[in-house]
Amino acid sequence: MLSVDAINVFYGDSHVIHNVAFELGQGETIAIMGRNGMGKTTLLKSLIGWLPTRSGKVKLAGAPMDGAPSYQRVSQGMAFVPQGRMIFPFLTVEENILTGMEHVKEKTVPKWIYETFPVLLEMKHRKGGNLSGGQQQQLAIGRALVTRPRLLVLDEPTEGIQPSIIKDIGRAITYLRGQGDMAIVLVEQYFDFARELADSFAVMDRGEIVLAGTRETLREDEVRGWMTV
Amino acid sequence: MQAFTGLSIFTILMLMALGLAIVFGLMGVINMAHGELMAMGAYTTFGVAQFFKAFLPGLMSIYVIVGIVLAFIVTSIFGFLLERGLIRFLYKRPLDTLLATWGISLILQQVYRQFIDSREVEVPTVSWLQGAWQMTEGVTLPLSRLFIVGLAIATAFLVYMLLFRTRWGLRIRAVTQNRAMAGAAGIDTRRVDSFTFALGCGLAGIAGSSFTMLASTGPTTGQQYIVDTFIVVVFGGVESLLGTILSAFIIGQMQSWFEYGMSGSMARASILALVILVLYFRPNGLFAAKVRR
Ligand SMILES: Nc1ncnc2c1ncn2[C@@H]1O[C@H](COP(=O)(O)OP(=O)(O)OP(=O)(O)O)[C@@H](O)[C@H]1O
Ligand SMILES: [Mg+2]
Repeated sequence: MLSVDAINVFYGDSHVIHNVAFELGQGETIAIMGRNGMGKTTLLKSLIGWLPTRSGKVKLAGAPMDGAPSYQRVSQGMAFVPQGRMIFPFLTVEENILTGMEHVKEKTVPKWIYETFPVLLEMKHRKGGNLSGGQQQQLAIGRALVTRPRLLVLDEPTEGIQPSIIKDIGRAITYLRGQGDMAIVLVEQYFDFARELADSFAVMDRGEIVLAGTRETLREDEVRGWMTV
Repeated sequence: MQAFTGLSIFTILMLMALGLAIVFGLMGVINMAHGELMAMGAYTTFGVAQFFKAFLPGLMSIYVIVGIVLAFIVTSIFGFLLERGLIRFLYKRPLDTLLATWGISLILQQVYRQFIDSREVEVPTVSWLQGAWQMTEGVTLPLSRLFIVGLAIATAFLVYMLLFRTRWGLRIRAVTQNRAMAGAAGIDTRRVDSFTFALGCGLAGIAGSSFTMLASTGPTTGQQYIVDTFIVVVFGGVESLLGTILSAFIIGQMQSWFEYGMSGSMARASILALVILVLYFRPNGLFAAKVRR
């Protein structure tokens, strides 16, 4: 579904991502872990097309994505939940979800979004900027899911969110993944949450993947070793 | 009476400022040629009037309507081409955009001077807009001005509906609020840019068309309005369209009241001083939105 082949990403002159490569099959989930400032978000920004890759290749379901603007990647089946959620503050909850519906046939918000996240139905007419952090996170995920992605890219969905909502979000993702064959790239520092969802793991340190493996082969203490300072 | 003069200045300012504010809010582009687009709308209306006079004298009474529609179409097409051909290459360089659009404005002025007329041109007032409405003894309102006010209100209403009730409006608002995220949600931001820029220019065209009913049009007509339009946008707060409308109203009123009592340049200086004072206390404009980001 997603193939990332030795990409390098820069902010101006500073080289942040070094030869990162991984493969992700249909319906699989990879968790990308790592401490603060190690380049996880930068990697995802290049996947969605916010940052160019200086070298290397990214393919989505076989189609090369290099240089494509974000909206084309979305129309090809990628969806993105950014760190910090990035809700449109002056759009209502409903309108926020509608922004994700450029490439689907339905004209109105489908019921299953509200069934998955009931709080969004209650808050339908509120401005996105007036929601709490947890509500905004659910809205950001709803806005991504409504595109009916083949690949969902999540950047620290549990950051700053209370355990009960983390559970809800985890349950929703597991349920939706069960409905089809959506692949997921999950950037996460909260190991327990990642372990619940992921088939494979990669640990990043200073812009490189320093440890990778599957659920079966990877030892938890090794991963945790890279996560502590 | 003074209030009413202010009202018709307001309508021009409002249409101009709406166009400028929408474009600035969306793309951070300050279009220095906005005034010349207004003049383009005025000249288009003038052209339509000439055409009707020469070929369709029997239909002269409806040229105004055709003039308004065509002014919108011509200026928005010009705006679309300007965005595609020049502005979009300069998005990340606001200063260059300023210079480039300023250059365009000078070129347009020269074109008007060279190919239309270096003197001011006037359109005839159609019969149904001649005369005045006698409100009370001593207070009469010219019909043409009433018409302009009505047109401005109708246009503002349509813009509101477009922005807040249609899919295109949703796209524009999303890109205005967070361009990168709008792209990542699936919105084709480049198409939104072209569309919006064309819309903003079209509004300037309508302003120009209205203007022909108030005064005669010359190559530098746009210049006289662009500064006031900037003031309106900044004063109202660039994020709020309602702010833009109210600010146009206030500035239009102040203009006509001040000019009643003092010289034109004195009036302008006083308005500017007041605006600066307000901005000192409310740096984001009079009507900055209050929502958590
Ligand atoms: N806009 C930017 N310009 C320049 N450097 C940046 C920029 N954003 C991030 N960096 C740098 O790139 C490196 C990687 O940052 P990144 O945001 O990808 O980290 P992260 O792994 O997502 O961290 P966190 O867990 O805190 O979100 C850091 O050293 C950071 O300082
Ligand atoms: Mg990050």
